[in-house]
Amino acid sequence: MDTLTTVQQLIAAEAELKPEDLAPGRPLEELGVDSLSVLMVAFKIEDTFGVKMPEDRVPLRTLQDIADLVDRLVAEQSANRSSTK
Amino acid sequence: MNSRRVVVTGMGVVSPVGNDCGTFFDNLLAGRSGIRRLSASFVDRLTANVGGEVDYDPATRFGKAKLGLLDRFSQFALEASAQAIQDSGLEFDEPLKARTGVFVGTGLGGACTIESGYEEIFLQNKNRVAPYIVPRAMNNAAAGHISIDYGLRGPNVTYSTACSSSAVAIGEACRTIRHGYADAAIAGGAESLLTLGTIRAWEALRTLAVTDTDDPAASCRPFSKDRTGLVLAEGAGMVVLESLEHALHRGAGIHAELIGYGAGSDAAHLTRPGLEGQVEVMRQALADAGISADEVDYVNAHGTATLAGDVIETAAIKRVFGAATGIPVSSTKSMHGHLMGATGAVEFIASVLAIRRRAVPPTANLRVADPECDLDYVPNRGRKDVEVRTVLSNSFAFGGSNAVLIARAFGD
Repeated sequence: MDTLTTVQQLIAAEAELKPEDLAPGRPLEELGVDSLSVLMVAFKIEDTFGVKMPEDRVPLRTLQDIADLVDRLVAEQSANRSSTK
Repeated sequence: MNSRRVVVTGMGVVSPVGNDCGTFFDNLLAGRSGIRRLSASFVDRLTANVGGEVDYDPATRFGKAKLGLLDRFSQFALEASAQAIQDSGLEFDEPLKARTGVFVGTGLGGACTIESGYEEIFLQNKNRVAPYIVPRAMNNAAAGHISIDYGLRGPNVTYSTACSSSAVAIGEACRTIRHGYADAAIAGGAESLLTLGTIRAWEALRTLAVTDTDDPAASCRPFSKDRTGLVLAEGAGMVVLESLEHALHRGAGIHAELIGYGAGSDAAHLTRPGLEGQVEVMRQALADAGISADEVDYVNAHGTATLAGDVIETAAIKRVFGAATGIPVSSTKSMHGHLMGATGAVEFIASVLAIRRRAVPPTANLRVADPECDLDYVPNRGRKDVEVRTVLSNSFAFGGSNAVLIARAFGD
């Protein structure tokens, strides 16, 4: 499963929505996913992907924003892990 | 001062003896205790291992996403509010939403959420916790949820005065309506603190009852010579209050009129109950109601079953009631335990139900007479078919914050 689909399912489960209703480019707020739910999803993303979400405020307005960030973090953090071995 | 009459038009309860008013009062009247050995996994680590647990499945009312935001005390508060609002038949149109307040009492708010968060940080050495801890745990979370769910935009206030929190919430809501700042209010209290950390802290104060090994349900024995202390419990009680004018205008069913509220402080000791303070606040409530002590038909005592507390409350009642001391005084805590911040509201509801049902709930487990506790405590058996027109409910708290509520049958 690609990152976008996984994140879509995590958000859908959190906000009790259907995954297909979460259009990747639309602001989550408009889709009925509030900022608290996004925080909760960030928490679950860390568990699912084994990454650490950054403390600084990266704008996570859309599903696509989140999926892109996760891809970037997975790449960076796995690179870090292999370089410190 | 401009003052309006205030009536109770709806009631809801979540308690160790029932999650609706009918079951709650039936059990009290029958002397059935909801106190038992705690179901928690940590129970074997406790000396005081009984409590008043609520049997409630939140999934019956809340979806998963909503539930994620709700500490157990907020779940209880919302459930009791929904019952009370349904019972009142109130329908909130826009003007009424703007004129309805929410008044909630709680001692520890989201105690379960705080403790599980600490457990993750300190015990499991996690470096992060779920983002919902603050909005779940804050003391005014329950009041916030009630106002959001029903769109109520009037005063939204949370009182935390330990064991009198919800009596204060109801009394202050009454004053708010009396003086015209709102036409209706959802008022009461909620508490859920049966965690290892909280129970341990109470154990250390040496105020908790020793478990009755033969009959754990009988561990709380107010006014009995063999009493050993209070039993912690959880739950919620919420009422709908309205100005009499508003209730009559919409043809509401009226449970009772809330005629008196007294609030005061012992100003003496943080944890020892004070005789003078209790006398003063009962007199204040009677004066507020404009009645004399001999008009009261039933007193729902604070009656926690601590050694000192029951003696002092008995002496205070005797001082206030003088020649009228023969009236029935009972402690329903013997059955539902001490719901802390929710207890005043739950006992106020028991008192109003005594009026409605023309019955007086007993003090259960009163086995051995105590010469220092010599009132009519309605020992062990409830009384039916009795005239109960006016009731007084005592709430005395750590910190010295005392509150007394008086209700009267409506239409008299």
